[in-house]
Amino acid sequence: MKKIFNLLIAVAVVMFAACSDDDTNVTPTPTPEPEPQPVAKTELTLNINMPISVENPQLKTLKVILTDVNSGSTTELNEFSEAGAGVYTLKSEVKAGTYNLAMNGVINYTRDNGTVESYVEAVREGIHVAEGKETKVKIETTVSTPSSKDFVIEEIFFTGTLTPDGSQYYGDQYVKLTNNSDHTLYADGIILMESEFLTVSKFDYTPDIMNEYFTICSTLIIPGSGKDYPVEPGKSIVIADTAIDHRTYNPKSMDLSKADFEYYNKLDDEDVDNPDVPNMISSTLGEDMMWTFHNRGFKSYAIGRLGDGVTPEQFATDYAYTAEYELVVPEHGTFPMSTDAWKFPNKWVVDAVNLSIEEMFAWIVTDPSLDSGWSYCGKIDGDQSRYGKSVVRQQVKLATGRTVLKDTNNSTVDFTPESVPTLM
Amino acid sequence: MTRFLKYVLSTTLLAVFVLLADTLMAQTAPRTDKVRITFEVVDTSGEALPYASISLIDSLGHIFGAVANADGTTLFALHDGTYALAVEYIGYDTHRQKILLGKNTPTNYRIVLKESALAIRDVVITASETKGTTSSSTIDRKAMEHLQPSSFSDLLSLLPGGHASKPVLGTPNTIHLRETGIASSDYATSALGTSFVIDGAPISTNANMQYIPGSGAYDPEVSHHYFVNSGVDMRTISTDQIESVEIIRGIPSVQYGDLTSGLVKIKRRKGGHDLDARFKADMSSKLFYIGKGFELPRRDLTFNIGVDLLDAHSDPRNTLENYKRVTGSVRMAKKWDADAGTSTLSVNFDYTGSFDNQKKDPDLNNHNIDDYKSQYNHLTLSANFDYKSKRNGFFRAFEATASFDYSKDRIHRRRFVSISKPMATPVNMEEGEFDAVPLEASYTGEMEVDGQPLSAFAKFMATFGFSTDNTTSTLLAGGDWSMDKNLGRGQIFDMAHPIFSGIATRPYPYNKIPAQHDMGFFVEDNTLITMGRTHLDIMAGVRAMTMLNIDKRYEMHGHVWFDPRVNVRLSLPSFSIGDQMVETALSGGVGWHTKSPTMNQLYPAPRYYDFTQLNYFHNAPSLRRVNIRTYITDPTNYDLMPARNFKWEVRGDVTIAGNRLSLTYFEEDMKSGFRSASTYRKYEYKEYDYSGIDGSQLTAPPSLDDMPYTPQQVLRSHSETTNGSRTSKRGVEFTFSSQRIAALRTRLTITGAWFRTEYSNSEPVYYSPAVLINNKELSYVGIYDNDSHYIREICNTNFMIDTDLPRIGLGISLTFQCQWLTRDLNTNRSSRPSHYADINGNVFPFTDASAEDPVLKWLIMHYNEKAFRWHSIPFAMTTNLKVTKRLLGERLTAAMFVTQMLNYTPDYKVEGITVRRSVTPYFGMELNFKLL
Repeated sequence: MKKIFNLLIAVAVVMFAACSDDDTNVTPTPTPEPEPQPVAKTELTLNINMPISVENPQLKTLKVILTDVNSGSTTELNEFSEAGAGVYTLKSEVKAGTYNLAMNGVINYTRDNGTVESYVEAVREGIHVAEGKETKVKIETTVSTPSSKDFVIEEIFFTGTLTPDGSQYYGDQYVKLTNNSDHTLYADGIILMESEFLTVSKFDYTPDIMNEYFTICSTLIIPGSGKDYPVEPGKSIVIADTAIDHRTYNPKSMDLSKADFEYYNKLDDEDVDNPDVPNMISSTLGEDMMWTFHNRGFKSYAIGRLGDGVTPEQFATDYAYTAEYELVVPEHGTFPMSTDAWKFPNKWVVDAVNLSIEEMFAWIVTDPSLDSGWSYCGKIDGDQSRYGKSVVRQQVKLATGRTVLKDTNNSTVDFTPESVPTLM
Repeated sequence: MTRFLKYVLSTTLLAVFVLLADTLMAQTAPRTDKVRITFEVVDTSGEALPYASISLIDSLGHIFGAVANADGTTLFALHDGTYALAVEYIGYDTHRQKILLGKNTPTNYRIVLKESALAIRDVVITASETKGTTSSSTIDRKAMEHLQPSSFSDLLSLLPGGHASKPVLGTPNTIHLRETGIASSDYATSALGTSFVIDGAPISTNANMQYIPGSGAYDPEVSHHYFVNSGVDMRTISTDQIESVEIIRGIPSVQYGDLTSGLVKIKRRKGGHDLDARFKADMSSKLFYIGKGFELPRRDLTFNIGVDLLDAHSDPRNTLENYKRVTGSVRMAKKWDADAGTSTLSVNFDYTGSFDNQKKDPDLNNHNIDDYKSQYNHLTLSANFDYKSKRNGFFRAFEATASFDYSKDRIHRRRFVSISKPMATPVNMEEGEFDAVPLEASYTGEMEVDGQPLSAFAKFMATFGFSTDNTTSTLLAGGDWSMDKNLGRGQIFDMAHPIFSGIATRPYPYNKIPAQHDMGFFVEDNTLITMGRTHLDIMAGVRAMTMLNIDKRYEMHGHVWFDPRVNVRLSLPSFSIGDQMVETALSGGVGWHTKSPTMNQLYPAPRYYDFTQLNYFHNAPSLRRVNIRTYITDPTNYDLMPARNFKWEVRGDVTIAGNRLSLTYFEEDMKSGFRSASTYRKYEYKEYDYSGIDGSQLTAPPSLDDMPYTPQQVLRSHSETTNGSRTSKRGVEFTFSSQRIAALRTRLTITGAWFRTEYSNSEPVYYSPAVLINNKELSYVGIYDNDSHYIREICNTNFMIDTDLPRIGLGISLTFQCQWLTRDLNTNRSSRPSHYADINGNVFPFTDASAEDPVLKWLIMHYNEKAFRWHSIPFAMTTNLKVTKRLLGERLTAAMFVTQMLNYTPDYKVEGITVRRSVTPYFGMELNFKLL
């Protein structure tokens, strides 16, 4: 027992040492010599730390906007120099005063032995620069997207609710799409897709097409001729399974009668249809021809648009994909399998969200350029605590001051898992 | 071992040589010098002892040996002289007698064998291969006592190819003779076509319709309790009332019909004075039995009564799932002995109750009800009358059997249903346009399946006999009739509260289904031809079967099926090597077998299809409307035929000094097994366009009168029972049983088999893949030649060493169950259809152009070719131990068993993946009391 305790201390010491190492690295060593200044300007040094969530980040371009709180005048700065691993220094001379800072930049970083481009950003308020006194400020950046040009998936409520008697209820599943751009977009023709593969079981699907395609089994399409369903910047549309006030059926559910679209399955004798809400067009491949979100969160979802001139029929024909794989069951052998699906080109994908659970997560089923992380409701398979919870995208404030939804193509950091559904 | 094989081989060759020489001699020797002499071998009660060994040794030391036929008789044609007669039968004292053969000496001998005191102790605790004309195994009381069974299923481990494992009492146990078995209801005809005959009366399962529709998909937790169309549930047969069982794996006599794959003949205990009691407990069940026999010898009257109770939990930790069986039996037999003949009347009255219960733990189910109860209450009254003539005239015997059988079967399923989204359900029973009603948010759905199968069976049969110089013949002629009817109210439930919210079924009464009548006639000749010292036993017969009371629309109406069956056994002259007698025999058989479809297959429940024409939701519930178009499809296949199985087999049988080896090669091919196959039909309905309705102006649900609509048509499948399943069986079965080695009191029995069973579709299959493209369904059906072809092979051998120490009343047996190889192959399935049908049922060939068609190409199925590979499981061995100890002068027997005691199940690799196997020991013990 004592040995273990000693070991624990040793581990703690090593970790602490590691942390302090980092700290020493962060402090830039060569202190620059002050230069004589004719005007009453004070030197401001920004030590910009790259996000620790990415590997080997290299800052390519930088845009820092300093806003003088008193005068409102702004200064844009772009020059920077490297000052150690993941640390950059920007020096400038400013008048004494109080500044707000907004910055964004482009970085390259290493992922899966390749180089990926991404964006970093930071916001600081109330930087005080005293006259004649050199000011050093440490800025922590986060990976961001500067400004989304399209729709994003703001929320997926896939778990459904529990009825008062403890049964599953999932007619209240919904997805919320938001116009994250700064101009009006049209929802016509937006396709909601469900991944064929599960994030909880990884197989070597052959041929492997993931770097070019998202493999899907079911789709729902928003109807319209192109300009029927405008969505203003920052506004959302809700696609409900059944767009009614569910509280009459399940008091623990919510009112979805104001949803913009609903999924009405006319092939299912029992589905009900709210005449006031337009129906989605289902275009499904599979045994049951039904759309239901995987309510344990094993599948990933995406939105996209078919390429120019491609009809759903053409897509069905030309983008069919048969994947073969070995189903390996430990201790029981391997079973060669085949699955029929469709491949949706990554370049047509507008946004993608991987869902999984901590207990069983095996892989993400999208190319990392679409989504490099995953979000969740519940941590174990069949988690009873997941019902009535949702994954919701976080908000960020852009340098321009506009609040948008955070879209760094990493759902792990972009989403708040296990949130209260926004419509509840 | 090799020395022994050489010995066997040399004796076989010698036997063939002797036979040839003998046949030649027989042809040249003057026949007039010979005298015919017949022997009839019976036990002390007058029952024939079939296949007794009879040998006559003349003064020069020539041995004339023969095996009696099934009636215990045999015939010799010999020269005058003095012979030493020896008649042997296992378990009986050998009868020795000097016989003088001359002109005026008797020519008919009735030899009565006494059960040997020694032989009673020298128990045979395995199944023994009968010496009859076809391959069959006999399991007697002693074997059952040693085996310690809970139900009839346990006995099957004694058959060649069988092996003992953990009992499965939580699900019905169906029989699989000579096959590897496959988990598919499409290949259940072998089990359905194995007839169980108890004291002359078959168990009918034709009217068993105890199932809940849709539960295979919606309720898999309980659907494993059903055994509709799968024959007899062997769990329900208690072994304690059984005297002996004969399992005919080969070709049974034509007097047995309505079977394809085998016959299980159960003979129950008759007479005796014992008061028996048995208490058995093992890891998952408890069994209690008490029975008593009465004999009034002066009145030739016997009575037997017995009661048995079995309580099993398939998982002892799970108190929520349980199986119970209660059986009771009263049997009476009266014999009248007159100069002309003996008459026997037996009357049996039996009750069997079989109860499966299962429920969900309310604590884990939010305190909601979820349970399943299945009861079978089975009453059987059967009577058997038989008259045996004592005169040696043409008429020999008459037998009549009648039985009535009534069951009160009930499934009661309660299930808490809470809708997962708003739904509507149809409540109409007729075809047409109706409004559906909304389902309540939650309710407890209840379903009752009330089945009351009533069956009757009658059979009469006369036996005639005649002989010529070298032949004795027995002729059987008779007929049988069976009737099945179900008086039950069928599937009953409240349509507004279905137990599954996703499936719209309708109540279906069983008592509306007409009675099913099968009638059969048969004639069979059993002739024993004596050719010198060689005996040829020929059993040849034909059975004609027809179905009565079946509507003209059925193809089977007025049809007659003929089942010719022939079995031949050639007993070669016995000879001796040293002082060891060698008996050899070759036999073979060929035959057809026919099983008529069951009531569920002939009269399936109508299928209801409800298509939503309008689904108008309004926030005010009174203004909502769901309109449906209901179709009723009759899924009856009027072209359905009985299942027919063709079998042939050859056997060799060598006995050397009481060590017996029997080897059988068989082939069976049943091309017309029952299968549930998909059929497609077009349905038309309206899709109303409610966009013109202003919801705020409505005062009543929208009227359909002026609402515009688009006509729609869709394809939907339903299942029909067809003859599209093929099961071909091939294999080798062998049994070797040694003489008990006197010094060690030990006997070695080796049984084993190699089975290769192929399961495939014998008719093309129809399939329409579920593809929905831009809200349009695929409206074509592919017709595929090869749905699945499963090849399964097993090879196993059981080595049983049993030691019997009569002085201390101890019997021990140790069985090594070796599974040499288990392998399977699923061959390529057709990925391309040969033809396709459009929505109107027009059939077109599927060409290369179709394969390129953007819509038709969806009919091409994709399979991973690598899946069509052999999958082999290497050697494994399990060991079973059984010990019986007789105490208090055999009044008490204590027994225990451990199944899978010591096991060798090594890991193996499949494509680089290590597969681990594990078997766990299963043990139990029992006490048997023999009082009075």
